[in-house]
Amino acid sequence: MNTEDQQDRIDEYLRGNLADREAFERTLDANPQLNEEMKTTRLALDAVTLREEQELKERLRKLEAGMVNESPQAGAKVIPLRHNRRAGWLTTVAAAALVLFVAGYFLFRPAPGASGQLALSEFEPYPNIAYSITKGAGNAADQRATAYAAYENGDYATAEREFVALNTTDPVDRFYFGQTLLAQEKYAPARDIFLDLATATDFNLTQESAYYLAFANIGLGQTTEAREEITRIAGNTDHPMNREARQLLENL
Amino acid sequence: MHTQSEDHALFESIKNGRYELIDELYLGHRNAFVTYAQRQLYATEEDAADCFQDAVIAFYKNIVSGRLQVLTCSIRTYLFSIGKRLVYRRNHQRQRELPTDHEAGVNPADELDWSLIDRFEQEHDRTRLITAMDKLGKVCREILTLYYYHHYPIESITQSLDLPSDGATRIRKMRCLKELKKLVKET
Repeated sequence: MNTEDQQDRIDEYLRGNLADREAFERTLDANPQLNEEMKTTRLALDAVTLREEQELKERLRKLEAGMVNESPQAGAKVIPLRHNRRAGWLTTVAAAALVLFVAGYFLFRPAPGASGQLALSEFEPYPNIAYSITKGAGNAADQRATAYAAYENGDYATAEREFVALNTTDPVDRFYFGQTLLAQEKYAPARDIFLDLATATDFNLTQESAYYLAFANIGLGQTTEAREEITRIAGNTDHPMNREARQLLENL
Repeated sequence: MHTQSEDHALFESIKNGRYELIDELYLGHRNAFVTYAQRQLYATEEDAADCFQDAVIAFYKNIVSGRLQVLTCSIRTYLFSIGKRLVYRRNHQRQRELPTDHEAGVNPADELDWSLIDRFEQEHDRTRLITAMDKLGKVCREILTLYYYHHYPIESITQSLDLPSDGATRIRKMRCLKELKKLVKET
């Protein structure tokens, strides 16, 4: 093998394109000179990678600096997103109240179906990754901001009212509207929403919607249908809700 | 939020070598990730943004290296899972949180190439290699970067850098690599 061929094979090996990797590895073990070339090539390619990643990182840092330095537009309205002490305290109080409410609900209501309890205990509203800042573009933007702000604060009744008033067909808004309903155990209307979203053709939360559809069905006591769907999701490791489905299945 | 078809169009464009589209990835998902990381992972804004930059780069690298050939979830889901792991790692380094079972289970970030991250945590080693690369001529740097990092075929490099022929590009690439190997040995 001449030097060029040797280098080509090393390149292909390191780029993961060499067909017979095991044979090449045996040759490497038997040939110290080739092994040395391999090590140096690996370092050289690491140098290329590190240098280029530094460049890309710098490019993104500049974008970040631009975003940070960008002054807010006139009338911009920013929904507070960071935890602060007061918010943390309020959240604690709200959480405690919720726990008391849930405990009281289970203690004093007529014996509920096991599926309803399970649905309630397992539900965690999907994090708001859809909407953070509104630029004060008018009533619709304000209403959307209010809906999402209430959602983030765990005030699902207000969020529901705002989403209803918004009367939007935007699938993302409807997804979060559905979450507010699930959070309030309004399983029937939630099921209708997630049924639409789970079968939408151009929406990137269809898989998540399928999970929440099954969840709503559990809440409605239709556990057979729900179990089938949850089992399907739990069996698909590529599904974004796979982990949640596996956990839920354990308790079904 | 991008739709599925927008995600696929973006994914295919990146696959076809349009590395500048990482700007779009960053701007499109940065705010949502930072919000999420602050609220759910207790990251500072600075750490969250920094980790998200690395997530975008790792995502890009997975695409061009062929490690990620088909999108099985939305780009946002993919970026979030890589970014989340990077934040856990950062939190652990800062002792904000113990390492975690959050990383258990199958995850799009499993396709992430951690080897380079692990091997070059020492700043000194990184600097040494980057310095070697800086000592190369500009054209050499560009050829090696386009070929080995961005996985451009030789024909595209010839066109991009206005080199005389594919054969000439191939020979040049060989010489540049030889030179770089010499430099990394010396430094």
